[in-house]
Amino acid sequence: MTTRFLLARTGVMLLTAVALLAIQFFLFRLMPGDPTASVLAGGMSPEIQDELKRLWGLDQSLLLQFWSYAKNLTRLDFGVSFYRNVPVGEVVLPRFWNTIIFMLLAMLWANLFGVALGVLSVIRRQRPLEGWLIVLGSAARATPLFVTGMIFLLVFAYHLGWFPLGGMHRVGAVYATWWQRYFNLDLLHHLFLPTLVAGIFYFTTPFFVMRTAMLEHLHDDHLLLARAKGASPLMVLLKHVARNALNPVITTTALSLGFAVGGQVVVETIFHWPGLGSELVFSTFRRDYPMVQAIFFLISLTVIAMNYLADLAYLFLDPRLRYEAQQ
Amino acid sequence: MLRQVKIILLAVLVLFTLTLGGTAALATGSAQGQRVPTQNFLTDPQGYSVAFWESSQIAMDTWNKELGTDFKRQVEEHDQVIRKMFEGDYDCGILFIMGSPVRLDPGFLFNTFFYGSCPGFYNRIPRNQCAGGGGALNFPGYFNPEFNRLLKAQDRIFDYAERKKITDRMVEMLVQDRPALVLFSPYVVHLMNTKRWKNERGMPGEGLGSAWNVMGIEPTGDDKALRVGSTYAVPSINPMAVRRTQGYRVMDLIYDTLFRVDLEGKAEKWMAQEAKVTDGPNGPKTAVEITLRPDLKFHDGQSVTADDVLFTIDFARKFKAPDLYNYVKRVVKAEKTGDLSLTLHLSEPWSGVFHVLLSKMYILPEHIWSQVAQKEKEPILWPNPKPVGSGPFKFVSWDKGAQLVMDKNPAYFAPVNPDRLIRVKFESMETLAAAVEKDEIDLQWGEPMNAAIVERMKGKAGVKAIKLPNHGFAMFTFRCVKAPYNDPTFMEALEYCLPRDLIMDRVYPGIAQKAVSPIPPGNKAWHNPRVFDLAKPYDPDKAREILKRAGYTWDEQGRLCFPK
Repeated sequence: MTTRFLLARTGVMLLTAVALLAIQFFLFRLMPGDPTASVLAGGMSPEIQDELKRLWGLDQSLLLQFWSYAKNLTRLDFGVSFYRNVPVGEVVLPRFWNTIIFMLLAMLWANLFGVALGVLSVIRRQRPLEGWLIVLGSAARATPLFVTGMIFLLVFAYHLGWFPLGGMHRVGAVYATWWQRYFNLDLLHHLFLPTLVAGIFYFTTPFFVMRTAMLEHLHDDHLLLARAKGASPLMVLLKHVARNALNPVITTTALSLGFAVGGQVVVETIFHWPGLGSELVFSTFRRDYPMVQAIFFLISLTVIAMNYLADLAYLFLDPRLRYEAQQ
Repeated sequence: MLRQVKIILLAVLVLFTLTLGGTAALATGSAQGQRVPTQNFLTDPQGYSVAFWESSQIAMDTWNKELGTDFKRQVEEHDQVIRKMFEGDYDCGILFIMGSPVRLDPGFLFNTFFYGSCPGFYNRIPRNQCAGGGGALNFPGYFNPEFNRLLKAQDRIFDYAERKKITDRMVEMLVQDRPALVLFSPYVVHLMNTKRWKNERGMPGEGLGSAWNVMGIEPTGDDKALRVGSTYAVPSINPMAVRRTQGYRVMDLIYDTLFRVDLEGKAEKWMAQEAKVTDGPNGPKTAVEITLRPDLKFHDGQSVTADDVLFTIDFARKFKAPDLYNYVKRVVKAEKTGDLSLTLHLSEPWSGVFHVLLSKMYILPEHIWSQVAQKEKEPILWPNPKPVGSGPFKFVSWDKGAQLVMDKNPAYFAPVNPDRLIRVKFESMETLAAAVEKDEIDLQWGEPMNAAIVERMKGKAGVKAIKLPNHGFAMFTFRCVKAPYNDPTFMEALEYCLPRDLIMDRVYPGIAQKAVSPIPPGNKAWHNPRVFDLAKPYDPDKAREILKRAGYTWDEQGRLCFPK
């Protein structure tokens, strides 16, 4: 029965992906504006404009364009960027990895801080520290990313010089392989500050979720048994309350990771991190349909995949759900 | 009976006159004695350019207050602004014409922006039905047969002084006809870190981004890696597909051209050792004889020959290279006269051939691109992953949207000072400026630095803000084929009421040069200083007076009305 549940979830996931594919294709073409307008600004003749439309496939009907798009996508061919004249995959895929690595580290910060401070706030409940932690969490969430980002950049990079001003590698670094590009200390040095800023913004979700879930579990019956067995109050909190409270944290983390993949425009701009967010904004303004479609597709796919993984993780972590699925 | 006939005839005459008058009024869009209708002033959103937003606001406020007009802002996204202007679907608007090297040539500039091939161009007759097509960006719909005649005439003259006389007259015509009101020409301000490099060279419109500066800038020490930063992304490294200024900056370094536009704005021989215009089968001055330098090599060691030049022309024509096709079409035949010599036969004499075509046609290595032409379905879309040119720098790597690295071409025939060139893309001006200040970047390219940052950088050790003249300009453009802009008096009044100095002081304090024509002082070779005497000074009283004299009136609310 669990297999059936998994198959159903997988089917829904695939259907959602296909529907999104179609929606985003037509949505961008309904936007006001014309991708050839940027060409007009260059003062081209109608003959050349028509030729470019032919090269870009814009002279075909919308349905034919969609058919070519979907067909090419099965070969992971996202087409050629109108603006850059290079295969979209060559631009988007490296940026996708840049964003994934960025977000994984940012989420690691967020969850380390969030879960740890959430537990601490429950351990120190009804004491001044709990109040301070709640204020800290609210302030971190309420402060716009560009404010935190600029402050950190100014203090730690500009004035103290502990970190670089931005970018992904030192200026002029050339790497021959994917492995060399992503596994080096220079990258970590460049990642630290921007991921910390993003981590501070995102830590409030796991912090409050962890805290709330722990408070909900504080009066569970099984805790009485644990105490009766002689477990110390701290052990009861960590082993029996915190562990149970982790389930919603994992779900929300998976979901927010999906959304965060496309939502880092501000941090990427401040730290000129070559990720998907800044490229999305850049390409949208230039009506670079193939580029925008590919980025949206990857973001949507990540969100869907994360939703799916959250479902699976929940199933794995919570025996009650496994039981329900079997029923 | 006779009296009745007379009355009927009179009535018919009156009706006929009224109908005729009404039709005429409708044709030009003006209704006699009625209010000048609300005019939509087309602009980009405020975030696109605060400076243009403010400039248009100051002008609209002044015109509405002093002349009783009703200008209202119409905000559209930038590409929609261009689209509307292109289709003539607007009243008036603000535009910035960027100073790309090719626009230093007056023939190119005027042909693109002010050539109208028939009356009503962009108005009632679709532009592709106008004989000759008209200038691709003639947004005002300007049509002046005398201007067109001069444009054609200067196109056929190769002598600079003689051509200058004609273009001077054309500039004066534009200032007097007012299809557009030029506001100012902003300087190109670029930041430079002076610790590692010195003796920079600026170029009109390009600032520090020109190939001349990159090749000629001198190191202060042993480290010869030049690190440049720009907020513009490199769009393409296919020299046949390049369409944008920022693309040309990179292509100028990897590939080479027969001519190059020098720091003064004139096309000079570069790969071409000799070039002369002679008489050809298509008439006098229609043959261009070119001899290449003997020491030209592609980056893979192969020599550059006349065959490569012929192949490039053929490729651009056959596959419709976007930025070259219109010009390469004018070469009706190209023939080899020796290993290093060739003759181009033009359809008619064309003085722009050196500046507009031969200075932007990158010579392709035939041994590589002939394979591309055979194997690729659409060679223009070929991404050109490892470009091989004959320019001053060799391609090393391109991390798209982040960093482009090039090394010095040791076999290049001209001196090149940097050993390595690293071009880094920045997401914002603030981080770019900080990188220059903190010695992570040596030079800025592309988009000029904004005034607030330049002000902040004053006094910082090792950082220099370099202010360079520009031939780009900001202008208000008007649909001069319809009322009220088809009335020269109205346009003259608008100019009398245009506070150019106020706009410059408020919006571009100290970082713009006064300009009143499409060839600003930044274009030293072609600027006509007499235009400053022809432009109208700010004088609202005079503006109202000439309107009154032309029969314009004001209603009880103070709104301007057409003459009765």
